[in-house]
Amino acid sequence: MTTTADDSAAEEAFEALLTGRPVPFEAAGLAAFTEAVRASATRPGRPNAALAELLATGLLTDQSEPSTRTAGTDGSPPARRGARVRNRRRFAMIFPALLAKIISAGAVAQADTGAGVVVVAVTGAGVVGVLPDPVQDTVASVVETVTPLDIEGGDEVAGDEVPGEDQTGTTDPGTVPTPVVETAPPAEPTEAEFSAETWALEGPDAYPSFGAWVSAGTHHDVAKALGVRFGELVSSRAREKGLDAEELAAAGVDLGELTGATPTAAPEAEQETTVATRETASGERGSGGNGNGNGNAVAGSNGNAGNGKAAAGNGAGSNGNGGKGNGRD
Amino acid sequence: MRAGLAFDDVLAAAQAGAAWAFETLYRGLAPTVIAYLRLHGAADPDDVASETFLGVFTGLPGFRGDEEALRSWVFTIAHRRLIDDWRRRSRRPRLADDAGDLTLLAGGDAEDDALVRVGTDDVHRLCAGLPDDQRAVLLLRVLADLTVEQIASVMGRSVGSVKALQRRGLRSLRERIEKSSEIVPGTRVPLAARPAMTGVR
Repeated sequence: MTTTADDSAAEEAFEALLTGRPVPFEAAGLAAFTEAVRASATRPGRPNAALAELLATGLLTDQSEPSTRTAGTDGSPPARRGARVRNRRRFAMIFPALLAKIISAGAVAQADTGAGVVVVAVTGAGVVGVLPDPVQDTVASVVETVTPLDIEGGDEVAGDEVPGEDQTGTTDPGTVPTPVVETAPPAEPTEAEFSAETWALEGPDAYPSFGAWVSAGTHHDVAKALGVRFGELVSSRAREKGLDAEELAAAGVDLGELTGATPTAAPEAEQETTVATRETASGERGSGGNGNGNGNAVAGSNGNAGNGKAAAGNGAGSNGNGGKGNGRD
Repeated sequence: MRAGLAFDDVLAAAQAGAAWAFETLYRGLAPTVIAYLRLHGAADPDDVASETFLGVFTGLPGFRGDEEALRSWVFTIAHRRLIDDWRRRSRRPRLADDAGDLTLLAGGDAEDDALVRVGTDDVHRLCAGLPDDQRAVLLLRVLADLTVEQIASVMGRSVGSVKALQRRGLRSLRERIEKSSEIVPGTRVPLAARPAMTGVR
């Protein structure tokens, strides 16, 4: 027969168990049950395919497969062209994902990653043999010391036995180290201001219209910030959304102009190398000038509103600020 | 939570979609969620847990709160997925025929903490013998460390209702244990193996 007193005692014992306090012997069975329940919560479990992909990639999904709207029909393009389209789209997704991972990593991991990218870039250039002689010799010596590869410009004469795929393998994007989050806490991943990475990651869905997204990207010069071909990035997004040339034109987007106006990037096969080289070359290219004009004039006065004008710079950015006119009676 | 990482940092990264933060949260919460689902008799606890965390991760950008609130929210989603699982299967979770072979191993003296051990199968039988709501309240308290108020929110019930369910669940549990237990003296469980008894989680 269970009484109210027994219920109260059991509840008190239960609360004591939950808070880690000792319990009377009469509650031994309840204590054993509680302990066994907690002990059962040790298996991490097996995530299903969807969750496993999410755990591996985060919310930055790789939409490398062409949509059904862009898939070839009777007049389908050759397979080679399809592969190029997929490569461009993969690049358009993977590059922002890589940037996001770097941004979300800690300072140490960022330094490691940056150093890794530079090493890959320099190594790749060294293998090709396009570095200046002193640098070429140094790179060749280092690479030959740590790898079985023979590189032109090293102490040894390059032999024919080195397979080409081994050389190209040194520029494999897979060798780019990923951020080691276990060794350093992550940096704050979000920014209050406009972010080119966010612009690329969120895409046109985060903007009122496709045209607004393109306009924001143009205004903030994300092509330079991301080191990508702006026109192709826009084109890729347009294909994903199934927008044709007419719809783009209606949205105020001239794809041909965007494609032609953006700086030429390196071939796709050297995308990772391009990432590093752009970092160093960006300082040599001039950015467009910015002009601001401010003018204030009190009524009845002879103040003149200022005008600002700036010409597009080539080699160095130029800024023009209009004079400020103030007048008083 | 992973050592060296503050919860706020992990949460912020997870809200931004970082995979490593998802994994950190999953590793921290999945064992208890899966145990909750398994002890409720879910057909495929891993799959229901996966659906739970997919819902959690995709809904994280709108979440606001601390670690305790996140745990409560995760179990809210898990509980709903569990009910969906029950509805899909159109039957109650597996129930044991009886708990007649339940064996409790005890030892030590009355002045010491109770030294009793219950096997995994016994826990499943005891849980299966409880009504769904009573089992949910007890498991949410033990596994998820939720308060009565938080459980009321998870289950969509009043606080008084949850307290009543807990009282009836404990009574039913105690009766089943007393009726079917066989105390075997002389088996002493080391303190280090009993985190629940010492408050160490």
